[in-house]
Amino acid sequence: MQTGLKVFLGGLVMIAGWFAWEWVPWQRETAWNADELRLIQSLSLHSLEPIQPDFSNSVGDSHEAAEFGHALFFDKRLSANQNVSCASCHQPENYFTDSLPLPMGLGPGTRHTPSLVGLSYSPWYYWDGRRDSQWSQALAPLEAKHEQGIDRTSLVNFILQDQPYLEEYEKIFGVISTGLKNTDLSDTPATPIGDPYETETWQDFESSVQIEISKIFSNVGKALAAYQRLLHPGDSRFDEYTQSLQMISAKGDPKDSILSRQELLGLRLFIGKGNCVDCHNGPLFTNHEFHNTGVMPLPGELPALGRFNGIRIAREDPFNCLGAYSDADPRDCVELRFARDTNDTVGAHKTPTLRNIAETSPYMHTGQQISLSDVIEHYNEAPTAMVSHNEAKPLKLRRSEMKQLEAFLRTLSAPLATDSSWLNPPD
Amino acid sequence: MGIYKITKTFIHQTLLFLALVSHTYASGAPPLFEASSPQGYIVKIFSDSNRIVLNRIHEWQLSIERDNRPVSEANITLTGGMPNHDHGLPTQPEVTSESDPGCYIVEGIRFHMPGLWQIVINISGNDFEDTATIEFKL
Repeated sequence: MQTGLKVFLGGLVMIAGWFAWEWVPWQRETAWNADELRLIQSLSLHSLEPIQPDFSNSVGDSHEAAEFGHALFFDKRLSANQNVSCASCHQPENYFTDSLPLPMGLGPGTRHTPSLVGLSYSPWYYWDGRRDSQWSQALAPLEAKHEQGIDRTSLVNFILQDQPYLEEYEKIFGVISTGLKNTDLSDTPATPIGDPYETETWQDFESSVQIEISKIFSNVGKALAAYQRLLHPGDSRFDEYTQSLQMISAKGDPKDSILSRQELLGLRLFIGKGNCVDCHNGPLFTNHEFHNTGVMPLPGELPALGRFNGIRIAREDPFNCLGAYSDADPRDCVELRFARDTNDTVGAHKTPTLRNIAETSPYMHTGQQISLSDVIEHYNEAPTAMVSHNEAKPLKLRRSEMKQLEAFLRTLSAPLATDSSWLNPPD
Repeated sequence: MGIYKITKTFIHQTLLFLALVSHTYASGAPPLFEASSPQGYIVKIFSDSNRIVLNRIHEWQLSIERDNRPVSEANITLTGGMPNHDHGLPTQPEVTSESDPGCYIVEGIRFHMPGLWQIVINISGNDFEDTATIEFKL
C-alpha cells in the first residue's frame, strides 16, 4: 500500500474514532442506586414543602392582598409614562420573563429578567441578592428610572386618587390618615432616591409625611409580593417520572419510562458527572445561593462584583427585614443577620431555577448565553473567572453527553400550577 | 370516685407520662455530630431535626465539656466549608447565647450543596484556645 494512502486511511480512522467518541452514546442504562433515587426524589416537585410565611410581610398570604397585588402587577399606570407595568418584563406567557437578554422598561436594563415562578421560596432577590424579601424587591423597579420610573410620592398620590384602589388598600392595610389625604401631592415627584429635584422635594416633607408615604409605598410592595407568592411551577414530565419510580420499580427501564433513554442519561449526568445538582438542587432546582461560575461580562463591561455588593446593599436597604417597614420580629430575620459578606462572594450571582428553563431563554445575569447548549458548553469549559475564582471545574463531557443533559433539562417544562385567572390582568 | 374524677386523673397521669417521655427524649436525643479537640474539649452538636435539610437556615445547640464538666463562658466561632469545592459556608453563623452552662445556641446555619462539609469550631477562653473539626457528608 502506498504511504499516502496509509496516512489517508489512518486519518480517516482517527476522525471516525473521534466522532464515535464524541457523538455515540456509549453509556449503558443501569438501575438507580439508593443514593441516586434519594437525590432524584429530592428534586421532585412532590418533595416541595409548603411555602413558609414571610414574617416581614404580614399580608403575604392574604387573598385580598394578592388580589390587590394582581391588579397592581398588570397596571401600566404605575409608571412615569403610563405604559410600563411589572408584567411588561415579567410576562405570564413567558413564565414571567421577557425573552430578552436585557429588559426594556422606560429604558434598557442592566440585568436579565428572572422568572418569578416559584421565586417566593428564595430568601434573596436580584441576581446579586440586593433585596431580602419579595416585597422589598417589588419596590425597586417602581422607582427605577429605567424601569417604571414612578417616584413613591406620585405612586401614593395615584392610590389616593383612584377610588377603587384606595378602598382596596384601606380594606387591607387600614385607613390612610386624613392629614395625608388632604395634602396635595399632585405634581410633586418626591423620593429619597430620585434625581436632585425629587430628593429636594422629599426633604421638604415633614418626617411624619415621609414615613407615611414610605409606609404606603412598602404596602404596595407587600401586595405585589402576595400576588407573586401564588406563582407556582406545575408538574413536569420529570416529576411524573419521579412519581412513576415510586410506584413501579427503580429499574429506570427506558422502554417503560416516561422519560426517553436520552433524557434518563441526561438525568444521570445531572446528578452525577455534570455536578449540576451541586447548585441546582431541591424541587426548584436552585439552592438560592450565590456562585461565581466564571460568566464573562458583556463586551466592554467590567465584571460585576455580584453578591459582594448585593449583601451590602441589602443591609443598607430601609425596606429590609430589620427595617422600620418590616413586620418581622428582628429575631426572625435570620438570613439577613447571618448573611455572608466575605471576599469569596465577589463575582457570585444567584443560582436560577431550572424549572421551565427551556422556555426562558436567554440565560445568565446579563443574558449572555442564548441557548441551553451555550450554557452547557460554558460549564463544560468552566473558563477562568475575571474576578475572584470560578467555583465550577471543567466537566469534560462528550458531545453526546451534552445533548443528553440538554434533553433532560427540557423535561422540566410544564404549565404553571397557578390558576389561569391569576395569569391575566384582572377583569 | 365519679367518672369525672377518674377521667381527670387519667388525663393528668397521661399528660405527666407524656411530659416525662418527651423530656427524656429531648434530653437523651443523640447529637447530630460529636468531635474532640487536641486539648480534650468534647463538642456535641444537637439540632431540633434529626437530619440536616439542604437550603434551610436553622440553629444548633452546641454542648462543650472537658473532663466531664461543662465549659462555660467560652468564645466560640464557627467556620468551614466544602473542602472539595474550595468555598466556605453560605452564611456566617454565630453563637448568640449560652442557654445553660456549656450549652451554646448557634444561629444562622445553612448548607446549600450535597457533598462533604467541614466545620471548624474554635473554642477560646482566658487561658486557652483550641479547635475541634467535624466532617460530614450531605
